[in-house]
Order: sequence, then C-alpha cells, then structure tokens
Amino acid sequence: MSDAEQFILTLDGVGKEYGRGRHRVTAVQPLDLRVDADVELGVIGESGSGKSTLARMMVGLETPSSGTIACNGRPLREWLSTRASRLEYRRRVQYVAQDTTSFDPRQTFYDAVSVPLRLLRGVRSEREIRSRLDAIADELSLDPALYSRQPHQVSGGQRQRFALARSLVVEPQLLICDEVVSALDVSVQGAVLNLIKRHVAEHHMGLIFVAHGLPAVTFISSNLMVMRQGEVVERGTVADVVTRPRHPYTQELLAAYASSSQKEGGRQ
Amino acid sequence: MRTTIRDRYRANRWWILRLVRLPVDIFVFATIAFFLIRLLPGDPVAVAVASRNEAVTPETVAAVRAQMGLDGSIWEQLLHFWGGLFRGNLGDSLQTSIPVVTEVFSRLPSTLELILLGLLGAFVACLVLGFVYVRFANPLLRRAVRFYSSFATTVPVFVVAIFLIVLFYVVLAWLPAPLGRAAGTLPVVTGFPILDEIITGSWSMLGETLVAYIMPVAAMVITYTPNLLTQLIGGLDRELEQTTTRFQVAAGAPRRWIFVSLFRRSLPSVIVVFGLFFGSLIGGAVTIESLFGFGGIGQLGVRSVQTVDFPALQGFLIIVVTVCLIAMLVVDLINMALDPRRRPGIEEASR
Amino acid sequence: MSAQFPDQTAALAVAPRRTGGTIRAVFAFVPLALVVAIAVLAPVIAPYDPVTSVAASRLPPSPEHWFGTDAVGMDILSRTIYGARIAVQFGVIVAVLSTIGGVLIGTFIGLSESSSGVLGLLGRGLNQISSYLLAIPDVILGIVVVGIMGSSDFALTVAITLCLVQAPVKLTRVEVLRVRRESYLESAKLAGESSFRAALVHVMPNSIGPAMRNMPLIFGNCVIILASLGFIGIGVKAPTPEWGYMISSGLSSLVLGRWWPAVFPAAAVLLSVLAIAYSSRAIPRMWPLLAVRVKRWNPIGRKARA
Repeated sequence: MSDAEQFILTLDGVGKEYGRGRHRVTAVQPLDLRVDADVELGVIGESGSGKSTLARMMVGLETPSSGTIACNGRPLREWLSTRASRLEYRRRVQYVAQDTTSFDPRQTFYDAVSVPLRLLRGVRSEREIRSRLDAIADELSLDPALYSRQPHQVSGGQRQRFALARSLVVEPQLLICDEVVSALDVSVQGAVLNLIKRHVAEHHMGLIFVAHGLPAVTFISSNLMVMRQGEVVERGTVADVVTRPRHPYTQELLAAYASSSQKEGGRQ
Repeated sequence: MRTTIRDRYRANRWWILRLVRLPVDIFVFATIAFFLIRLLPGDPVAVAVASRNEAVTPETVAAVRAQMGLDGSIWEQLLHFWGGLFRGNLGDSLQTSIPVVTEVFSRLPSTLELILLGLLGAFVACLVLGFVYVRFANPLLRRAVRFYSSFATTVPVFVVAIFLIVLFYVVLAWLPAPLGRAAGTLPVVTGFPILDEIITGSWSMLGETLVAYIMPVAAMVITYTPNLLTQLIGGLDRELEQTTTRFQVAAGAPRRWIFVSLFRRSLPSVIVVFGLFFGSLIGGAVTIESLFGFGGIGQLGVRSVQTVDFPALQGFLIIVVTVCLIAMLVVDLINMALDPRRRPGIEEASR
Repeated sequence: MSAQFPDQTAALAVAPRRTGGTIRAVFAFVPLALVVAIAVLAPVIAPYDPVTSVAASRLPPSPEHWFGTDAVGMDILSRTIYGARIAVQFGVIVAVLSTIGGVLIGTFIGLSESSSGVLGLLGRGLNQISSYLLAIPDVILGIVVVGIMGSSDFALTVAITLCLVQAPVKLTRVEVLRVRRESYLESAKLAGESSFRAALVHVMPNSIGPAMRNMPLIFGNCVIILASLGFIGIGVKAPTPEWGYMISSGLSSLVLGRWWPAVFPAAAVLLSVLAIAYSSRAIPRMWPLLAVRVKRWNPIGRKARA
C-alpha cells in the first residue's frame, strides 16, 4: 500500500441509527458516496441533520449500523483492526472537529501536536519535530512561541488553528473538517478558511468540509451536499445547487441566506 | 393492560423487585467474601498452628486445615460453601463447636438493641435540633446547631463514651461503673435483653440494664446525631427556599402546618443516611460493647481473632453484612414508599 | 500539646501574598500540619522513652510526669506523643496506598465497564465487588482481615486499606466516566495513540483530582479505624504506644477512679481526628483559590476559555 496508489473512499449504503425499539432514532439514512483524492465536498445542514455523524463514521469514531465504508476496496473495519493498518489509515485520513475541548487541558500544544508526527509519521529526532512544527505554524499564521502554552492560555481561534495543525502535520490525503469555523468570530473565520483552502490546494489533499453556514461551504468547496434529518436532499456542484436548487429545503435555505445578507447590507 | 393481576403487579413491582434482590445480594456478597478471605496474603492455618504452642507436624497442619474447611481445591470448597449457604449452615466454630450461625444470632440481638436505641435517640435529637433550627431565628443558636452538625463522621464513639465515663462515673459518681448490663444471668427468650427482661418480668434487672444503657446510648446519640442533622438541615434549608413554603406562609397557613409540611418534605434525605451509616453504627457498637463489658457480636469477633477461628470469622463477616443489606433494604423500601420517584423502573414508565 | 510548636504556623505563613484568602488557605493546612509535626518530632519532644518503665506505676499527673504513668510505670505523655507517630505512619501509608490503588482500579473500571467482552465483564464485576465491599462495616472488615492474616502491622495496613480504597475507586470512576466523553480522547485516537497510552497520558491525569482531595479524609478515617481496632484489642502489638490500645489498657484503672491512663490518649484521638477533619474539609475548599494563585504567578498571560 504505497502512497502513490490512487486514494478512493467509498460509502455503500452507509446509515446510522441510535437506540433500540421504540427509542430508535435515525441519524443518517443509508447513502452512497464516492470520495476521490481530489475531492472538494461541502456538506451542509442544520444541527441534527446527521452531517457530523457521517463525517465521524468516515474516520471510525462511529460505527455505521448499515452499509460499508471502504478505502481502496478494503473495508474500514479491516483497516482499523490491526495497529499497523490503523496507523496507515490515520495517515491517509485526518479529521478536525470543532474545537471546544479537543486538547487535553494539561498538555502543551507542543506535546499535543508532536504526537501524530511521532506516532504516524515516525519522526524521532527532536530537531526534526521542532522544524516541522515551526513550518506548519508559519503556514497557519501561528506564533511558534505559543507551542509552549496550554489550551486555556490561548484564544479560540488560535486553538482551532492548533487543532488544524495537529491534523495537517500528518500530511493526509483526505482532510475532514467538522464545523471548524462555527465557533469562531466572523473576522477569524475568514482567515482560517483561507488557510485551509490554501493548504489543501498546495498539498493536493482531498477535503470534506462540514458546516451549517452556507457562505463558508460555498467559499471553500466546489461540490455541495445538503442534508436534512439524516437524509441527503440535494447534491451537485456549488454553482448548480445555488443557482438551480431542486429540493424545497435547499430553496428555503438559500432564500434565508439571501434575505439575511440583504438585511445586513441594509443595516450597513 | 388486560388483566388486573398484571396491573397489580405493575403497581407493586417496585417493592417486589427490591425484595427479590436481597437474596441475590446476599448470595453474591457471600461469594465475594469467600474469595476475599481466601485471597488475603497470609495463611490462617499457619497462624493457628503457631498460636498453639504444640509440636508442628504435617499431620496437625492437615488436621487444622480440614477443621477450617480449607482442604481440597478452592472449587470444592466453594461448592461446599454454597451448599452450606443454601441450608443456612456456615460451619461450626473451632472454639466451641457450635454452629457459627447459632453463635452469631445468639449475640446479634443485643448488639442490634444497642444500635436501635442509639439510632432512635439520634433521630429524636436530630428532630429536636432541626426544630430549634427552624423555629428560632436567633443566628447564634442556628450557628451552634450548624457547628454541631459539622462533627459528622469525625469522632469515634468510644472516645466520646470515655469522656462520659470520666464525667458521670469518676467525677460525679452519678452512674454505675461500665461493667456489663446487670448482675446475674440475663433471661434469654428473644435475645434482646430489654425485651426479654420485660417478657420474663425481671424488673430489677430491667432497671439495672436501663441505667447501664444511659452512657453508651448517650455516647451514640452524641456521636451520630450530627450525621442525621447535616442531612436534615440541608433539607430544611432547601425546602425553606421552595415556593411551596413561601406560598403556605403567604396564604397564612397555621405555623404548625407549615412546620409539619416542612419536616415531612425534608425527612427522606435523613432516612437515606440511615442505610448508609448503619454499617458504621455496627462498627461503633462493637467498640461500645467492648468498653462497657456488654456481650455482643464484637466480643465474638475478637474471640475468633484470638483463637484464629476461621469458620467463625467467615460466618461473622457474612452475617453482619447480611444484616447491613437488610437494613439498606428496609431504608430503600421506606424511601420508595415516601417518594415514588425513587422506585425502580419509574423512568421507563414515564417515557 | 500544641503549645509547644508554634513554629509550624510561622513556617507556613511565609506563603505567596499576605491577603485574606491566602492566610485562610494556609490555615486550612495548619491543624493537619500540627499533627504531622508532633509525629515527626516525637523523639525530640517526648521527655521519656515510650516503651520502658521510667517511674513507679500509676503515678498521677505531676511536674515530672505531666500525664502521669501507667500500670507498668511508662510515661503517658511520651506514649501519647509517640502515639501520634504510629497514627501518622499508618495514616500516610494507607492514604497513599489506597489513593494509588483506588485511582488505578477506578480508571480501569471507568474505561472498561461499558465495553463488551472480557474487559467489560471484568470492569463491571470489579465495580460490583467494590460496591459490596463498601457495605462492610470498617471495624468488622478489620476484625476479619486481622483474624485471618494474624496480627501484624502488615495485616492492619491491608485491613484498613481494603476499607478505605473503595472511596477513591468510586470517585475516580465517576471522574473517568466524565473525562472519557471529552473530545480530546478522540483527537488522541486520531493522532494514532493507543487506548492504553491515552488512558495513561490523558484519562488518568485528568481524573485524579477528586481522589487526591479525598486523601486527608482517608488519613483521618485511618486514624479512627486504627484506634478502634486497637481499642477492641486487635491492633498493633502490646508495648507499642498506640492510642486505642492505650485507652483500652487504661480502662481497668478508670473503673477504679484513676482517669489519666485512659483520658489523655482519648483526648489525643479526639484532638487529632478533629484537626484532620478540619483540614480535610478546608483544603478542598481552598483548592480553587490556590490554583488561581499558582496561575497568577505564571508569567504567561491567561485568556479566558472561549
């Protein structure tokens, strides 16, 4: 399994249900999806639409209750079954969540971000780690001096960028971002989005960008998938979906954004 | 909802389920105790043989091992133990050759009597102090009650008793020496000394016993009231803030009503503690019995330690914990009767 | 007793900043520190040897023997002071052992109980066993353990630790159940950490707080149980100056009106358990205050959590 091999992630009838009997809740209705190495997919939906569950299933944080996820023809279950192949999968696919507590409050950022370098990329020398961390910090406009701090000692935007750094140092083939900018101030949002977009383009990574805000998703990705109550209601290129929405929910969504941006414009 | 029997079962399921759990609890605990005392480092056989001052031969060691029921593989022992457990037989004491169950149960009532008197006294004292706490707005008084309640679970009961003895026996000479319940042999009917004395009409002995009980029970009341009081005060403080109370005051309900209602709502939190600290009461009673020269389970325990009486120790542990489990059961049932929210299965029904 | 060591307070008072909060924080430690100081300094401050006869027996309190002498002529003041040493020795050993053991077991239970398979079964089993052991009265468990292992310091330590290890087990388990929902464990997983490594590096350090704060309480309970067991006659061996044993051997004198052999050790138990109880309640209250202070010294400026 060399890195040169073409990377493909396929979802075949993947769905997720929680609970049993009367209390059963469907989080994601069975869906098919093919993710290529150069994907730029935005997933949009309100909270509870199953978009996060979908993203988490792709990295094995949740187990699908139906269907199979496969990477290069090999089921995810198998990838995660042995230590070596699990690390290999983590090298290929990385996931960044909305940061609230994604860092151990007792660790410094240096400790946290160097872990994937050591474990996934096998970098041993302290100098090599330092230089890679400095490089990624530079790319994400982070002050390398912040590496010596603990999570509560930096701002939310800085913490979110460290969370990105932790995944990006691995140099994955696919990056899955789950609501990474939702908790940030609007001013910081733009900066972080730009950083992600640039990095993904420069390193030829695939990107799946999950969010509930339309502007962020349309800015960063070329394809769009709209989810509602666990169901995919619309897919297509951003241009197609925005100009010719077919599903009433998508039309509603677009209309809401149009009116809110008008209001904002009016106020200014 | 077809048959009335099923409905009746549903309505009563909470206490039936809780009651059924008791034998299961006892069985599981007895099994845990069985393994616990066999997994402890150290060999009771060696300790027993060493304490006998006899020549140690392999035969004597084997004989002692067989006496203790420690011969054979652990699984054989377990099967044998389970068999005995179901027949209510936990082996014979090595010292007296009397069945351990008989020995423990002949002593348990007098210990329980002491505990119940102490518990009752503490409960009354707690109610009185709780009333003082609510009734009088004097901040000094309230702080004093609070301060007293902060002594919960700190002072060992026998230390309190020592000071009582010094004060009332040595200095004031008001009360008799701590040398047992009453002169002569107590009549045995139920095993509860006071009850037996009443049944047999031994009035002079009853008087002596009651006098002898003053200091130990007082010590228990002084020591254990704070445990209950912290809960009661916490409950009272919480309930005073409740809108129900404010509404009653605003509506001009009689004072007496408000107090009764207030206490009724605060008591469940006190009763919960009963179950939790029944165990420490048994522990405390053991030291009190030793101090005042009362015969009871503590005496049996200490004697079993001194003679390395393995079956007696094992049976002692199981029976004492069984009593604790029963006490917890009673407390649980009272609580569930008072407060339906505590009944098991209530969450499923309300969904 | 306490009149002889005012220095301890002074030493502790040289703390961070002399504000009201700090002084209150320091005072929380004073009673506990005093008990420990008496234990540590026992050889210096005890006037006589605690285990040899130094005068006639049963002397009432006098300027030579402040607390009098016991039935074999040993100095009760010296024995009472050395009693603190015995109590503190057991208290420290038991508190450390049961906290370490409790954290390890509690972490294991918290991490394994909801998983399926053998580990989950083991975790749930341990949790149940711990609940049942919690139902055994301390003194009763002490009697049985000492009875089976034979009377020795080791047996006593095992007995008291078995009684007191359950609290840190439960405290740590609850904390682990909270921590394991934290998303930094998922991040650790994605960074390639094994679950064992994550348990060691992330779960345990973030879950030990309650168990650590519970340590002084264990210390106090240990003193109480040790004295109770000594009092009923199954504690440490005879001439060792242990408070419970001293009280029980002074009982026969007490009945005859000689109060000093029993009362002074009883007062020592009373004062020390009250002191430890005060500290064990005050120290956790001071915890946030101390933490804030430590952070304020930290040269790196803090920013509020987003």
